[in-house]
Amino acid sequence: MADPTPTEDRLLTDLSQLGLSLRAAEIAGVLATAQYLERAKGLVAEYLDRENAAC
Amino acid sequence: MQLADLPLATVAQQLRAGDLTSVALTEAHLARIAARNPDVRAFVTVTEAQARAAAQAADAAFAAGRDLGVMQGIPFAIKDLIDMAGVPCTYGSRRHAGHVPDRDAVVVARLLAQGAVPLGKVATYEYALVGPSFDQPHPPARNPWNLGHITGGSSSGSAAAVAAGMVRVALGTDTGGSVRSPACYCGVVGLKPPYGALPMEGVYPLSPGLDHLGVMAASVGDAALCLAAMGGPAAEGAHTIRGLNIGYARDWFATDPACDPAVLAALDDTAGALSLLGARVSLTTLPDYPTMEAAGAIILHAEALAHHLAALQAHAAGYGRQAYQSLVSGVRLTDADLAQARQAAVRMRAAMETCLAPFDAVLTGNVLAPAPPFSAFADDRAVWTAMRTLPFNVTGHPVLALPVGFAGGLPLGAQIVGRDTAMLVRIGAALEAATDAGAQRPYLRT
Repeated sequence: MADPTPTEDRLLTDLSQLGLSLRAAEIAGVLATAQYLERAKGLVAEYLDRENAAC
Repeated sequence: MQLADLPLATVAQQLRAGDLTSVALTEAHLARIAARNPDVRAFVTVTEAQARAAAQAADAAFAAGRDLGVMQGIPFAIKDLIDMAGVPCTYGSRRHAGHVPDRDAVVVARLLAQGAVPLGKVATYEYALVGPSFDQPHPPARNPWNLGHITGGSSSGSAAAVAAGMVRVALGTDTGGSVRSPACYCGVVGLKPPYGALPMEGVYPLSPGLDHLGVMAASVGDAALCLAAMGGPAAEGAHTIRGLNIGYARDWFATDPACDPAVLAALDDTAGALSLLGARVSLTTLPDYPTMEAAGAIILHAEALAHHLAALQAHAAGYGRQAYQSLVSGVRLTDADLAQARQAAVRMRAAMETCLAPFDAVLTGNVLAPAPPFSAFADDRAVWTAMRTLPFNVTGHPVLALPVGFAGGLPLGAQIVGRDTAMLVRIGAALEAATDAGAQRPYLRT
């Protein structure tokens, strides 16, 4: 099961914990990519579930 | 035909017959660079002294009856992500401004050992990530077909240099399409051999699980010649494809709303041309694109961030803002996510093998629209462009990208994927000989 869709606050918190930050104008773009990657994790998990079920 | 436009097989023959010298050929290329690079900005470093010395050495070896290899005396260019000893290599980043490697990348060493002539380093997007961007050590390369449009990347200078006729072959890298998409945008050939076919030592890593070296070239034959000289798969361009079984994965790209109708028409025409050449062409399918892209994106972002994290924490200001944003967007990926994506990639490779097995090769889309203008990149944010390249980094299959048409004066391209590089070259060479998309060149200063 994929993690919940990241919010802006959660993204900034995750970055902050690594000592990283974003400029205000950059947040939306990075958040969009992070959200895509979250959906990607879901797609991959579903794919593996289907593959394993087929075996 | 001018010297700088001669196919490499012809050049190799003339050099050995004594009808041409490497010095004359090299001077022709250096003159082209001097005339055209100020507009195109493909080369970031021109190694005139090294080129002239290598050309003289190649001619001397020919005169002494020594044949060092097929690339002897032939000029080539190197993406600025690939090391050449004693020549600045920035990897496209301010963080590495002034960096001068002390060793050649293995593939560069192999070409130099054959007597090939290094013309210089050509532009890359920062660390092979995203672009175009204006906060790198050099301004971005421009598309020779329309200087107001991008080249694509990350092998931006490789594609632009070849398209502008400054060099016939240039080395590139391809982690998610970085050879094939700029080849498409600039109307040149891009050849990505199978994963692991060429050694990566001396090449700055982006995502080791997906990184490939490749060749950008003015023709299929040139690409095959250079690839073989580097130690990649040998491939002769036999020009008959009669009786071959070629799949056409049309639905894999045609159903994407971002697919430009001109791209679809050009691909349909290409399938028709293959049929007219005697191949049996039939529609086929490939594994689900979004799922393959998802696995590739996770691997790429996770591996790239792992490589750069310490440097991001210590030297964030050294990174361009697009590269920085691209890297940190993988912050929520875990080791477990990466392991799962790698596990999926293994399954996907097997699934792709099953889809390719009935065919000698499969034709499909590359980038799904012509090169956008620089004006589409108004700020530091990356712009997403629809393409069908990343899955073949996930599966590691060889792919040939080649031009198949034009829209609005800008090139369109296709991919031919298979299990055998030689077969891709055979099909591409036949297609190239029968059509004119690859023969056209932009109008530039002479």
